[in-house]
Amino acid sequence: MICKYCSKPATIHLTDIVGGQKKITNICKECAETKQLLKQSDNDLPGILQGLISKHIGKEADELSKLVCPDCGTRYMDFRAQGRLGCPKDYNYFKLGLEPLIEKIQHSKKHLGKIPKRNPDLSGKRSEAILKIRQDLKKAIESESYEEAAKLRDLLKEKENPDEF
Amino acid sequence: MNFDLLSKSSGEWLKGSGVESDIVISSRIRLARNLAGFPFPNRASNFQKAEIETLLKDRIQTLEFEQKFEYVSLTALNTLDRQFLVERQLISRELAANEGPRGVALGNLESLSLMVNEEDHLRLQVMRSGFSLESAWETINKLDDFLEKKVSYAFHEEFGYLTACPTNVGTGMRASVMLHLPALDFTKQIDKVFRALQRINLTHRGLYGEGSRFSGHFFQISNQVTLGKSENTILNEIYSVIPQIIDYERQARNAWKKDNGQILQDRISRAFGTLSSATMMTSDETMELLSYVRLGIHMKMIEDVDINTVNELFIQTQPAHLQKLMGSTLDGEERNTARAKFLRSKLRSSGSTPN
Repeated sequence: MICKYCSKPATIHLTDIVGGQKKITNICKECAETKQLLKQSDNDLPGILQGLISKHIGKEADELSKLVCPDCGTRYMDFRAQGRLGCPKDYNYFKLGLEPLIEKIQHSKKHLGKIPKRNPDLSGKRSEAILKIRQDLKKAIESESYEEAAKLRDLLKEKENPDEF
Repeated sequence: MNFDLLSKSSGEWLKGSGVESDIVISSRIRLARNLAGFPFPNRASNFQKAEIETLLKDRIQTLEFEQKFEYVSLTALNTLDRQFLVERQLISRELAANEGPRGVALGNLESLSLMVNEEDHLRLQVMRSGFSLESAWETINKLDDFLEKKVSYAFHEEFGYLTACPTNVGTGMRASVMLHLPALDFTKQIDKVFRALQRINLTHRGLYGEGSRFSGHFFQISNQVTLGKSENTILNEIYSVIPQIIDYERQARNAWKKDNGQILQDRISRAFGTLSSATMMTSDETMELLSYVRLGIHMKMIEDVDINTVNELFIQTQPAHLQKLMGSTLDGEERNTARAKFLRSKLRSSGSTPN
């Protein structure tokens, strides 16, 4: 059997029922892909397989596989399998795994677009405040003022608390 | 909302007016937004989804925006009406197929639609005929500002607007331009264009978005990346590349006419001939043939066919539209007969090819 479009050997056989009549189309994999005759999901790696792969990359994966969002109950592995997060807070709870992934698909990990005016806490002001604390902390460590550094570290933790947004 | 009435017009995206409208069909921008404090729709219970729907519906309907919105609950619609809204590009295939409380708020000009409980809590969409991303952005940005005063969006300092899928995080913005590229497609130069687009992080899709088939030589060009760039930067990247594609298409059309004019003329005339005399037509064949007729009109290789009629036929011959126009549900074979009859009646009264 040869492909309807390019005469290569056909490996995919699509069956359509039109008006009670069976119609079979024989095509090769390449044409099926370029003409997008198959649903996206038919081409995708099954989620379980993907999950297994990430499970075997080592220690970090092991840690990731234990992550669960206390808010919505989504496990990090659910996300890996389905590609959908459960709630906005997952972005903090799964940050360890998400950040490299986001960087890979978005070629960036920092938002540079619009900021909602309604949450002034989250806008530039707060980022600037955090930035300032970080700079102060760096200076404190450099000048070996460890007491000051410890204070600043706690302050930073408080400001960056994932529960806050 | 009276869908039967809507079915008689082509809607904003196929109006065929606006800048460069012989090649650029429409411009569209969508923003993905979520409410803080709720799980994303895929994780939300029906009870939570109903809560989200009630909240958003109320805020949208009391918005003091330049357009008023009418909320349509998807659970109250039958399959035909859902399909109808998909064909008009007012809702996504995903929203039509999802389950539980969900819906769409439609602006009175049919250029704005706000989907509730799709992949994200809220998907704002604006559509414009022709090449006009700038004006589309102006409208949607303003609408987003208005909404933002009334709801608390899930926003993260580093990652921006939070979305159910990390491929949308950041600006949550997908801007796309729908192009009609028959000459690039026919001469297979389109793959070269796609490869070039990929290198600058732009992507292409079919007529009905992700995973849909390339039908009628329509292609949507949109941004792949949503994080790490401002909305304006992303829009400018698309904005600067579209004129080049338009230029390639025009060159390909002219070369085609110059080198194989007779073959092209024959293809266009045959397309018109088949459309105005066949007695059974599938949706796919109709799209393919209408595409050649559209090309023929813009290349002045076919006369007396109204471009608006052809633009309207692209949408009116889609399955749900056809059934609305015929006033009854039809199975596949009945549809093919009804479609051919409809095409004959619309095209026979006009159209001839120059000698």
